[in-house]
Parts: sequence; C-alpha cells; structure tokens
Amino acid sequence: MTKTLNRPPASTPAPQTDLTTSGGGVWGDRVFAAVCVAAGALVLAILALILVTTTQQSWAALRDSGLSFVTSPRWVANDPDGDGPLGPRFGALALIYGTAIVSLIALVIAVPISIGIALFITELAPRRLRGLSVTVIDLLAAVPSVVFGLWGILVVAPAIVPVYQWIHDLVDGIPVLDTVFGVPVSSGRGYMTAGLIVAIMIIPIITSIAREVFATVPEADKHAALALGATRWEMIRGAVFPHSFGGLVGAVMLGLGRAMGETIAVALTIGAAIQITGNVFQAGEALPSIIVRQWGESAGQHRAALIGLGVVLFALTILINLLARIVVRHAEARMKGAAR
Amino acid sequence: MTDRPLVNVVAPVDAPPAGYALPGAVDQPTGYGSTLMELSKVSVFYGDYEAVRDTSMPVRKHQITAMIGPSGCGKSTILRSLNRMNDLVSGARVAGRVTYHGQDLYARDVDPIQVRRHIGMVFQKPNPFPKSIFDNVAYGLRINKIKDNIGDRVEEALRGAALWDEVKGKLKTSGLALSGGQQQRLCIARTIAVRPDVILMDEPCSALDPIATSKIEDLMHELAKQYTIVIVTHNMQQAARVSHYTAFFTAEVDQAGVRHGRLVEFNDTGKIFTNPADKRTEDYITGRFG
Repeated sequence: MTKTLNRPPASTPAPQTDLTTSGGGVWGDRVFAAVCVAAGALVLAILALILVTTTQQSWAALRDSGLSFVTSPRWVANDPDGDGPLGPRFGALALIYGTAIVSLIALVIAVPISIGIALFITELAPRRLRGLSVTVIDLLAAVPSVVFGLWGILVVAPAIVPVYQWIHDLVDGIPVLDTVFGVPVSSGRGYMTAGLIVAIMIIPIITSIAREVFATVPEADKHAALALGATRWEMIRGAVFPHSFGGLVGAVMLGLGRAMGETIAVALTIGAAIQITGNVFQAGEALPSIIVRQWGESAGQHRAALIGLGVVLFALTILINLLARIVVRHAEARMKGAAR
Repeated sequence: MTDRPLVNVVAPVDAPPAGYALPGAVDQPTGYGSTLMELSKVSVFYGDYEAVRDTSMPVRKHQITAMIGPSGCGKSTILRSLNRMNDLVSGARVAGRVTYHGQDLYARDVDPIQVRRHIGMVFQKPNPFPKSIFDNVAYGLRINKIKDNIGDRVEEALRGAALWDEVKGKLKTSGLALSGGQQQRLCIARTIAVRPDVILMDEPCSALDPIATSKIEDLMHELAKQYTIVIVTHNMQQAARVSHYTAFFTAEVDQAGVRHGRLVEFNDTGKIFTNPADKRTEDYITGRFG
C-alpha cells in the first residue's frame, strides 16, 4: 500500500533528480531567517540608539565635568555661584554609591531567601503546597513598585526605626559593625529601608528563575548523592548546586538589574540625602531615584547631568552583566571539563 | 498455578556452589557464601498498585547475585528496595521483610541514610557529579565526615575501580570529561570510596559499549572479593558471565487482570542457565519468551 505513495503519478515522465532547488520551501526558510535576524538586530539597534541619544543629550554636562562626573561626590543642583570656586557641580559618586549599597543590601537579603524558597518548592514541599507557593510568589511580582514604595514609606520606615536602634545598640563598640550599623535616621528612610523594599521586589524574579534552574538538575544526580547516604541538604550541596551555578548567577543578575534600576520605590524610601556614609541606617540617594526627584525642576546643565546619570546607570548594568557572563562561562567550562 | 511452588529456592549454603568457580574468585575471604541479606515475602507497592509480589531470596556475602527478567518484571524495583531507594518515590511502600545482618531495613528506627551508607548503588546511566574527578570520589567521604587521608582514600577507590592509571594525572578535570565507561567506573569508585558492604548495580553496562562492558565485568569479579554485589541486568549473557546466583523474575497477569512482577526462580547461576527448574525460566533463557 505504502509503495503507491512513492510512485510518481502516471503522467509524470521521469522521476525528478534535480537537487538544486525546490521552490517554496527555500523561500520560507529565507523569510523566517530574515525575520529572526531583523528581530535580533532591532534589539541591538534600540540599545545603541538609547546609548547614543542619551550620551548626546548629556554631553554638555559630561564634557564640563569630565572624569569628575563619576569621581566627585558633590552634586549641587542649585549652585548660586554658578560655576564658581566650588568647582564642578555634578559628581555622581554619592549616587553610584547609593545605588550600589541599596542593591547590595537587597541582594544579601533576597538571594538566600529566594534560593531557600526555590529549594523548598522544588525539593521539599509536598505537591499541593508547591502550586500554592508558586502562586503566592508570583502575586508578589504583580504588585506595582509604587505600592511597595508607599508601603515602605508609610508602614515599614516608621515601624523599623526601633529595630535599627536595637541593632545599633547591639553592635555598639564593635569596631567595623558600629559604623555600618550606625545611628539610624529618625524617619527610618535610608539605604537599609530601600534595600529591604527592593529585596522584597526582587525575590519573585530570583525565586522563579532559581526554581526553573533547580528543576533542570537530573534526577540521576540527586539519586547518586542519596545512594551514597547523603542527607537531603548534602544532596542539595553535592548534586543540585554544582549543576545550578550558572543558572543561579543568571537569576541573581536579573535581580540585580532590577534592583539597580528600581526607581520609584527607592525614591520614596531612601531619604534623599546626597552623601557617602558607611552607615546603612542613614539616608542616601541613588541614581534612578534622583533622576525622578529632580527632573521636573531641572533645566540646562542640570538636566543634561541627570541624563548623564542615566548613561552611567546603563553602563554599570551592562558592565555587571558582562562580568556575570564571563563568570558563568568560566564556571560552566570547568564543570564540563572543556577548560584544562 | 498453585500446585507447584512459584519459587524454587536452593537451601542456604556456606560453601561455594559445587562445580562453579569464577576466574576472579580464587582467594575467597571468610564468610563467603553466608547469607548477608534476606528478602522474605517482599512486595512493593506504588500507591495501591502492587508492582512486585511475594519475593523471597537471599543475598550471599562476597557473591554476585544477578536479577534477570523481561521489562516490567520488577527486578529494578526489588533492587531499589534493598537500600531503600524506593523511599524516594512518593507513594512507594514495601511489605514483607528485608533483612541485612539480620536487621529489618524497614523497621521504624532504621535511618534510610545509614542504610544507604552500608548498601551503595551504581546506576544504569553513568551519573558523575559535575565536579572534578577527585571531588566526585571524595564527595561520599566528605558527607561521611571522613577528613583524614582523603587523597589516599580517593586513590584507593580509583584503583579499586580500575580507573587510577587512566586518570591519575588529571584528577582536577571534570568527571564529565571522561568516556562513558570511565564515567561508570568513576561512579563505582565513588561508591566504594565509602567502603560499603553491599553494592547494588542497576543495569550498570546498558549504556556502555562492549569493551567498556567487559572492563566493568572484570572489575565486578575483583570487587566481589571485598563486597557483596547484586546486579540487575537485561543481558542474560552478562548474568551468566559474572554472577554466582541468579534470580529470574517475570511479569504476570493475575485473575483481576493486574500485571505485576514475580520472582520465578532463584538458584546457582550454573543451574539456572543449564538446568532451570521452571519452564518459564527455560523459555526465557532460551529466547522463547513472549
């Protein structure tokens, strides 16, 4: 029966042996390839365009400040002296510092919690609880950031001052710690509060990616560990983590990207003080938050400098992502045995 | 069906089976052939489904016991019940008794983690961890809190698994960079590094080429001097080549139409392959099965 399928219709004179082209199929492939390349190129083009136009718009300020734009901690939006003896007015260092500290606090809090939740969901939770946990975490991701910010400023900040005070009293007199956990600002708005809020915001992202990553660990690896008499935790350390390293770095990077770029929640909770202090309970200011705070009242050089902050932030995120990529590639190569 | 015994179990022996010797099994240690583990009326359930029924057989010390039979006969399930790996399957339950040194493995106060530290397992697909060769072998030592002479213990295990000469210069490279056969020997090294009593092997050669297979089979003869081995295999020739005892399992359908696994016959490997007591065994080993 099946032979008739292969036999050419009676009217066809001879079987085709022309292998050069087959009409429609090739065109389909070409169109498909073109669409895909275009889509990829579009992303690159948009990125390049953003970088070029923002740099252009901020050029006046960047040129005036030169390197001090990133090395000076002084940011004076309304200098009565103009470009008087005070020197360059726009230095982003305090803001870069604020962004770094808030992101660091957020990661230190969010990463262990997220990995813990992801492990709970993939390795420990009974099936019924799994779905529920996933739903709750996803709901957290759906909350708008301004709501988090308002909650932070109205509820968290006032309530948390006694906690900060307690921690400060606890570490008082211990050399480094009593600087890091110094006297809290009375409003409760500062690096730590902003970091806490941002941590809550990035937990869902890191959790859901970590969950996907853990789910790809082969059952065989887990069984191998368990068959050696590993406890659940030893199995996770021996079989799950080495397998997941690259993916986890990716998860953390996405969280970090979100943390660094988070604007409104940070603007509401960080306290708007342009300063560099080792005290995480003090008020500060971050790159994106100062942009929204000062944008409306800015003009000329000031506005150019604010756009320049955007360029700095953009460059920082790209730099960190590239670094992470190198780390992951290196680790994976070693894992697979490609690197000697 | 009921008028003949379902299982033909030979009387327990303390001496090697007559007329049956393995090339590698010349200097046998003491205790050779005594019963180390015993299954009595073991049934394994997955939820309400009774996958394997009423299995009784011994596992003898420093001997290689092979479990053979068609797919779905429950041989792997029984193997996993010997070190409580079935615990990992949700809903799995074991009825009957599995004893090890006379101790019931499923007694309330028995810790499955301790069981697995005494009764190790090698799997079908080589599954080294994505770590260096050294760390793969050292993993079991580390989780057993062994801190002294880890280097020596790793070397000993790799020598024991006949892998040392091939990897001694590159212990820091990933275990995943090895060939399939080497990976499987690495997994064996990882298992013997913690010096278990019993090694369970679940079709350890089915993913390997013939040369790698024959290396593992040679290795098994060596290992039997120090360890007790239970191997599940699809390959009857392999069972005939390596094992001292063979358990033949088959899949049956009961009156209610439920398909389940059953032990048909347990005997000296020589007897199973030359003079099986059960017609079903004979049909299977001569290739007349289903």
